[in-house]
Amino acid sequence: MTEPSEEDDDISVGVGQLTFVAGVVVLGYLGGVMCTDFKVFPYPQLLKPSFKKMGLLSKWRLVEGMPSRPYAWSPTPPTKRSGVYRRDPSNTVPGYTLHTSADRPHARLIDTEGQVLHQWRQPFREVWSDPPHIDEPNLNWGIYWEDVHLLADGSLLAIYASSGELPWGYGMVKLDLNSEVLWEYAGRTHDDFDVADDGTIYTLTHRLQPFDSGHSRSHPDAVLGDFIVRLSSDGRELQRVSLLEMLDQSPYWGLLEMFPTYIEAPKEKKWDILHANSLEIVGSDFAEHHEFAEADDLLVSFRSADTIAVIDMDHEEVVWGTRGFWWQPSDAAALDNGHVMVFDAGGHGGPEKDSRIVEIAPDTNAVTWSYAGTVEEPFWSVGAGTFQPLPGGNVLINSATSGRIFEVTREERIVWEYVNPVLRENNGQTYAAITTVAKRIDPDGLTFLTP
Amino acid sequence: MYARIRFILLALTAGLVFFVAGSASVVMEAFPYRPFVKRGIEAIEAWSERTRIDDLVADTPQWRPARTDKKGVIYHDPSKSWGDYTLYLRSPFPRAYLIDKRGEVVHEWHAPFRDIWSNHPHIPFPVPDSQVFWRRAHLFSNGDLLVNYTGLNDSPYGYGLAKLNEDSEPLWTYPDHVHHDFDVADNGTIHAIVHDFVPPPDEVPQLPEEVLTDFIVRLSSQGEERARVSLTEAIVDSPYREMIQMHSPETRNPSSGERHWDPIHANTVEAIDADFAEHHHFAEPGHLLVSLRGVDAIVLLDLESETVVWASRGFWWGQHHPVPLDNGRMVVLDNNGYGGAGGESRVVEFDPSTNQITWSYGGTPSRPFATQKRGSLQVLPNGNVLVTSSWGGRIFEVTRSKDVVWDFHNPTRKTSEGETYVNQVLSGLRFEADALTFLEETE
Repeated sequence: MTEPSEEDDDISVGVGQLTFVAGVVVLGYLGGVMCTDFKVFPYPQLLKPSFKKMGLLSKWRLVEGMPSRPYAWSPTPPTKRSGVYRRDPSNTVPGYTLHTSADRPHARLIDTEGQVLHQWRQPFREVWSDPPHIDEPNLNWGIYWEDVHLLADGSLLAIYASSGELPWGYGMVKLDLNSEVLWEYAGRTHDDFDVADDGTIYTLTHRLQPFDSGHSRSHPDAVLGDFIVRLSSDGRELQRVSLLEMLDQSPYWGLLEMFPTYIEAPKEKKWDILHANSLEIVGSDFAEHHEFAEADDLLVSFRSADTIAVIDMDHEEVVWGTRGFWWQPSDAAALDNGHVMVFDAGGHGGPEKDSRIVEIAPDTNAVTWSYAGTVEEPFWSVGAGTFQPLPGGNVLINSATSGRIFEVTREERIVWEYVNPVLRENNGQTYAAITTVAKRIDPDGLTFLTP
Repeated sequence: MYARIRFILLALTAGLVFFVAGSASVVMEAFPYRPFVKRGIEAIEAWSERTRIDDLVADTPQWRPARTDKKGVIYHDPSKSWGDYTLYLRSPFPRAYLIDKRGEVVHEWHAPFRDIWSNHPHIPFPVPDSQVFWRRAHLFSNGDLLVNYTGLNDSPYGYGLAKLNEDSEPLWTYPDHVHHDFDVADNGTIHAIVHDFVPPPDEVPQLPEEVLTDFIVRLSSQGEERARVSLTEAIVDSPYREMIQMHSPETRNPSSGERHWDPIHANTVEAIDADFAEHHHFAEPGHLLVSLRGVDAIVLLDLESETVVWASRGFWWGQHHPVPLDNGRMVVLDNNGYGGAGGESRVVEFDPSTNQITWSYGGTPSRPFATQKRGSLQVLPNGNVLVTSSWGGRIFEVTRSKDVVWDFHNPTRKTSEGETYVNQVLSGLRFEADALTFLEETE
């Protein structure tokens, strides 16, 4: 055996040095992991503030309360596409699409190629220069339309909402086709309304109020109580019912107590007891399937209570209600086959992201159809969103906080897709204006468009 | 020498850089913290927690802060109360007590885990006997007792099913991960809940690689397994798959969160009979009513077709023990859905076809009813409900007019660090004297 050479020494020293460095590096890494996981010095004192500044802390760890940025704009990563970018005309239900864009009180009627056929806009302060129903109204730029309804002559019903404000309902207006004000209703209308064939309007309104429950938990501090108001076709109030009281006095009072968001909510959101967000007049086809329902009943969804209910406005009663396998329902429809379809904004845990549409049979809660997006094209609308069942089984889905409207077939194929082209850049992040509502409009019967 | 010092300084600097990197990788949930290092830490923590219970009283939820210093039966109205004897279990012990209406113990059973299973192939490393207790019992007229064992702080915590005679000697055992509840039919057939870590169904890819999956097993009256159905598979193969789809470690909905490794958490099982089934087109006698606390759901399972035929996510939260009634309604213990001043729990009777609540009972400030977890119900032949309020260490009987006609407080107390605790009670069951022939023999 030869004497170890200098080379060998160098190599062994080299290996020793490498091992030492590797050891220090690994120990250092693990040490960093341990002190952060167990929240001991120096993580909370030195590292955490720096990470926060660098924006490394995930958004879910930041405190959430009322939105600190205007709700109307969503930082959801937008697709690079905007306007209409997918069309399969032979499988699309023909017609126009009416949608709002929350950058301002603004609605557009587009055709299937995305051409704008007509627009309506009317700033809040032009309708009410001195609103009797709001003490300190928001600035114009924070106000947008939450729902609109188009009439055959081109007149438009619209309800205003104020971003980031509580209560956010700001009133209803009827405009003619040139956006001139025909009449206004100075009430706290919000989220959704529906119009009967005879022109009668049913709308949600709300106000902060204490609530004395007949059952269990009373709420001496203010909660956001929802109401349904019935208006004549020229905007006069005919009837007003309190949804809190109706639920409390019905055999569904258990649903009122059971709002997980409420029970778990941090103090700031304990006012959000119901969060009614959709209202639809039930048709006779649906009512025929159910003893509890009659035509002209109203189907209402309550986001905080994870509840869908049917309201009889003649007797001012809740005649049916259910909680289901969803979280934060934001829209509901009563189908002709007797089923109920729900926009489940947050209940889907799969890789297709949070939102899905479900169709259920009310007597067994069985899900008879659902659409949750795909991994390649996730479907995700945070706490909001609307949909419209179309003739033939297709569904027009409005993923509101993505500004994305698309039509999907029963076989889950997307046959038409449109992204709101109203975008804005801020600090390197692109925001899309939220589309609060989208509806497919049958061109037949519209008299105001020149052919 | 300077070279060496320089080298060491360089190495320490590298160490410091990686220290910060390690911290950042936790905050950002980046590789390799996630998944490797994180799993390692969780595994070590979980293993050490299994047996590191320094104070069985204060450190575990088995003992709860005592709400009263009253002990035993504090109220009894014989004209309205039903039956003669009450069986109950005391957590965390493998002990059952049969008491009379005055609270006097007339019989006891006791069988530690290792007395029953000196050889325990189904549990390779069981926790100490002091941590293994009975969760649910069924008493036969001859004094035989069927009990399930639970290993505190272990996972899977189901430790087996055993049938004992009135002297607590084992007659037969079923060595599998039986947990929470089981049901015994009139003909002796047993349905039990069993769990194990298995891969979740493919249709739910967001769940971890292995989840604590609940199964329903059917056993003969001698404890021989006849059928086994996975509840997660039965749900996925049904129109109620959305119930599991709500789970995800990443979304914010209330069904997700820390327990995505225990997604459904079945906690009771009971067979339905013809009287209940005839009210509902979706139900048939022999279907199993199962409560799934993890998804706030009550389901009907058809063991033959291995599918869920009905499910409801109702106005309850963290529920136990739905009981089917002859009039087609159900009674359920809603542990957390009540906001009243008397505590967060309530008993609710409802119609499963319309979701209407037809009767309810919640506590009052003078008689609070609050059991955030556990608890059980028995509907008595006269319509009264025997409620086991586990966290209250209390069993009480309430009439339909909401009068409490029998009120029993577990007499044991322990103090730890200046606080007085009562141990939880489980599985309260009421019997008429005629039904328990073994008592007559001793008398």
